[in-house]
Amino acid sequence: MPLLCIASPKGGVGKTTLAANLADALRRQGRRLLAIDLDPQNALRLHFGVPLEERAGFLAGLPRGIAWRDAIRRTPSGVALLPFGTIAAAEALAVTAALEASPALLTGPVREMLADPALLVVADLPPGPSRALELLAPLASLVLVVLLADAQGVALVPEIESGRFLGLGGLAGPAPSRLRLVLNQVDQEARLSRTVAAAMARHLGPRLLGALAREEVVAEALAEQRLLLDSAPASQAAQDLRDLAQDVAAALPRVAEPVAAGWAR
Amino acid sequence: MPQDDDFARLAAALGVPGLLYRSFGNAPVRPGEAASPAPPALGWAMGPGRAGRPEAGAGWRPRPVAAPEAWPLLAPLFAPAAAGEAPAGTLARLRAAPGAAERRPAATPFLPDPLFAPRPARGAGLR
Ligand SMILES: Nc1ncnc2c1ncn2[C@@H]1O[C@H](COP(=O)(O)OP(=O)(O)OP(=O)(O)O)[C@@H](O)[C@H]1O
Ligand SMILES: [Mg+2]
Repeated sequence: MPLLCIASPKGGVGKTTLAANLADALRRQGRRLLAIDLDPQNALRLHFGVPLEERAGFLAGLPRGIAWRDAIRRTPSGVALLPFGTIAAAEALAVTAALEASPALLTGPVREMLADPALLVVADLPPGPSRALELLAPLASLVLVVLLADAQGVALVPEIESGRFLGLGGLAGPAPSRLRLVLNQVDQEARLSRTVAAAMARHLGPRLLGALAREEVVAEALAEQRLLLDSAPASQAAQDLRDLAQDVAAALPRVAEPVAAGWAR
Repeated sequence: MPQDDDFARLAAALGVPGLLYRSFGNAPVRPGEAASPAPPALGWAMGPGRAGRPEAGAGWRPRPVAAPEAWPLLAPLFAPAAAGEAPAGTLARLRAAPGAAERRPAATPFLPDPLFAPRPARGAGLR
């Protein structure tokens, strides 16, 4: 039932890395997981070992009326995956136009997914504000905003707190507990990263749900098309990921027993 | 001229008071104070009046030696380093107080579904 959106005002901060590996970590807690890629970069699938040449996906097929159940991929991790699909620029614009004309093309399927009380849906969003985030944030139990521990991350904090940038209502909005932050690529050896991260942790308090270390193994895991908990389970980042998964689980509404007739048959 | 000040500071920092400034007659890199279209300070971002817009020139320093008051999250960067850290998760290390965070019991039991059952990975990709 719960929907977890991974978003950020900024690109390249680790949203996709986090979406994939967090879905995997939550899956290891015994949950049923569906990861959905809402970014035309179509990169989420790579973390799950889907070969580059496999180009099919859900959102890419929206203008053609593709059924979301038909686009689901099984992955070795046990996380079910809805890739975006690999498309050209014109097709990406067509997807945006289709969502603009009929938002229900996305919200309809997502509502169907969320009707399964045993399912946890993790959505990887494109950087910055997007139609997809605007449509899905109201359905989300939790929106995780990923930031880096640097000056730009600091500068974005008030934008997120006020809700100005992502249009989410902000940390002081009607449901501030649904909006949490995660610091990624924290480097304890780098003075800027370490001190800024600690200051942000103090400033944000419980609104900061997690922090992940910057480690080469994280990027290497993607190069190997593996998940971090498989490729480097003893790393600091893997430990941080497990901690985050626990805190995410605690912040989500309790997942009910699965219904007898699953949606994904 | 601002660049003269910069040069004096550089000479002081290098410990070479005799270092001379040689003008090549080119225009100053930094414009004069009067005409300064100062770079937008990020101070507005975190300060008390942060709802406001950046004010041209307000508080701008090319290389702050102390934290800009209006950007307190960066202030610790300019403070003397503190020693001693507990080895733990990154978030726990960031939070000075290790206070036992309450955690819920993790796993929710579930009925296995073929779609979600992990399969042994065969090579890097799916077949
Ligand atoms: N904790 C980390 N340590 C080291 N490298 C990391 C870490 N997190 C992410 N990376 C690397 O940073 C790069 C960007 O990550 P990712 O693609 O997940 O960001 P993104 O926010 O999804 O980007 P985009 O905005 O383009 O969608 C990748 O190469 C990834 O491997
Ligand atoms: Mg991404």
